[in-house]
Amino acid sequence: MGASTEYRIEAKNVVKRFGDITALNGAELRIPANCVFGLLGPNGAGKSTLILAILGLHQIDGGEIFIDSEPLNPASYEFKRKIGIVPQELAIYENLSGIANLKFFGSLFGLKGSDLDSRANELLEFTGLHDRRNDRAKTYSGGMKRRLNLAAGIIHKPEIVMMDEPTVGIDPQSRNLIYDLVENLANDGMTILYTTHYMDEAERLCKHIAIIDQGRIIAKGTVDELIDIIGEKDVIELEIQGALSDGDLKQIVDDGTVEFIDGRLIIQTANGGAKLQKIMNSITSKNCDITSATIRKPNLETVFLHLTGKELRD
Amino acid sequence: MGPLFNLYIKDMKLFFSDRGAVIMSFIVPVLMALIFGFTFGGGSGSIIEDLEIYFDVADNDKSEISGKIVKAIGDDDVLILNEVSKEDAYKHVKSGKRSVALIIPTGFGDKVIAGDDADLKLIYDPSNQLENGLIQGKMQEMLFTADIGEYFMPNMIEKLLRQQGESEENIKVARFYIDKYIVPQMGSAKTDKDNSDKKSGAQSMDAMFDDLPIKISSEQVVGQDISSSAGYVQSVVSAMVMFLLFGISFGAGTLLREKQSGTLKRLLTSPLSVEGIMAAKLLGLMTTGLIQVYFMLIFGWIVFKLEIWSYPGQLFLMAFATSLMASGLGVMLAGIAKSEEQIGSLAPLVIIALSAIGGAMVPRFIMPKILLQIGVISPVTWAVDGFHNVFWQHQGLMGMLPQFGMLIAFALVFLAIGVVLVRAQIRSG
Repeated sequence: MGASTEYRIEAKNVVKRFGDITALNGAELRIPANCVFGLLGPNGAGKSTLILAILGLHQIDGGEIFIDSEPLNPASYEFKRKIGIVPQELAIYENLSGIANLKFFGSLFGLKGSDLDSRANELLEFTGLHDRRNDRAKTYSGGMKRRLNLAAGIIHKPEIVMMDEPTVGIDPQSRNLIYDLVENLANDGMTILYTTHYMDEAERLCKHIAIIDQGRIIAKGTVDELIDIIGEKDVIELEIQGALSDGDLKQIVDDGTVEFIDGRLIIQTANGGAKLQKIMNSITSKNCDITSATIRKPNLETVFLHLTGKELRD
Repeated sequence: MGPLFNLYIKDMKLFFSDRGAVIMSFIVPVLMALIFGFTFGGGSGSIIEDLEIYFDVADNDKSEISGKIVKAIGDDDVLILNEVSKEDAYKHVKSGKRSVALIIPTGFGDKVIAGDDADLKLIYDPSNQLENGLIQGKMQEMLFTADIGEYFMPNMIEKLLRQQGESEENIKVARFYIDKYIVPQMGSAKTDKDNSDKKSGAQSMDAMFDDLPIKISSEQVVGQDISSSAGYVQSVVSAMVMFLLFGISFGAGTLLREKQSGTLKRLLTSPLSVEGIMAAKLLGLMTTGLIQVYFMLIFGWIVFKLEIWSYPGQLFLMAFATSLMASGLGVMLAGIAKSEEQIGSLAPLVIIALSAIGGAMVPRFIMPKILLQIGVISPVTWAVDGFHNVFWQHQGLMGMLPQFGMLIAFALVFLAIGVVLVRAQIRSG
């Protein structure tokens, strides 16, 4: 069975074992061109293993991987030139300056002379590090190191980049800077496989998302498609003062669930916004006071919770 | 007390969970105590009791008297007799194969019988002070234990009496009594002396030795033209080899640091092959090693007047082989350890053990036989010997071939194991 020409990366029934542990258990992934593809999963779900398998750094025990419809050949120069990696770790030399790091990694791909200089400087400008280009990387803030880590992964202008949790452990401002960088790269036509723990990050950046758990892809699609697939309802959360009987709870909504947890009433129902006033009236008529009310639209977090029974950051 | 106790327990747990701290605190001291204990204490009491010294004797005289001296040497517990020609005796001492050798010249026996001064010659390499001192003492002892007094005593006494102006009549009477009563007793006197306390015997021998017609002269045949002392050579070479291993093991840790920091992933996804990455790493280690060796050699030249410019070819080959061996060891340690922290624990243990049995902490010539035998499995032994031979024995390229060859062999074995282990580590991610 061959690979489809419409995908840049195609993983079919990939299996990877480490001793008795099966890290990938028939993972299937298809990544179209020119998009940021999100791979979501809790720790130990198999995200990094799948990335390393696609990069050829892990020999797989079963299945097939295709890059641009060609079977994976990690030793080939064409493959290495085409693909880039932004590892989860800060894969930079802290005792070298920012520009020295970029020049070193660029030189591995045959860049040299003025081409290398201009590409390194271009990326330093792009990542906002140009003013600190001659400082040692160890003097950079966490966010700056993350940006340098990203720049080092794209120094050779790869067409496909694996970004393994590129914003882990940094402040919101630096995260936003990296989002902008990733969006710019995607706009320039780069195909990006992006793993993350952060739901807002995936929702903002990723056109397509796959959810991986226990080494298997358990759902995939756009954000809206994923939410629609599971038919997730709005979540209304009310803090109340007073007591409600089981019978009272059953009367609050006709088409949904009501739970009373830690003094909060959690109601899941379709079109929660339209029903909110009616629900509040029903509760106050039982001699209870409502001290706060929130309504959440379904998001990837609730989808993930629904599918795996786990928080994404577990 | 609760929180304080908990703090105390936590610190204890942290200490005992740190493998490096535990190894350095408990295993290394035990290892060092064992090595120094065997070296200075000896399993059975002292270094000398365990010593076996190969001793070349060139008997050019082949007389009855020289034969008795050679036999006494052969009967000794410490000296292992090796009869050679005079030329070979010189060759062996100059090449470092032996520290001391005895030359018994032609006509020695005739001179002894005539009561004339007769010379025995010890040729020696001053770098092995222990063996030199022991053999010089042993030789004085041998002259008494060799049962040769009967050959020179009558004539010596007769000569002394004549020098004192005694009449021929008295001398004749004295000679009669010496031949009839004293000479037959000399064998039993020797036996009595053997059973007496060796220290007091040695003292009385020292006093008598000055009057004997047999003189022991000595000739230094190695190092007389060297401006530095053997001690300086030993100290520079020992420190250089031991800390080269430490330096290289630190460098080898960078491979694990690359793995932990993720830069190895970048390198592996670049057009470089695994073999290329390892070759570059090895080249880096080798270069650092060579710089370290030459830094120490230049230090030795400036401070201790080591003659580093007289043998550039030999020194380069030794520096190359030693650096390659150290680099191979570093790669192997990097392959065995799973993290930079692990190599930090493992390397000192291995390096201190190899250095201790290899003569980089105490000279090998004072080690007991068991440690000398074990020492050949340490590459440090071959490195220290090789550099020592270049500086002290002025070994040519052929002469240093065993040490050079062994270091290259160690390097290849270490590298082969290291490459296999590192590749397996890379494959396992």
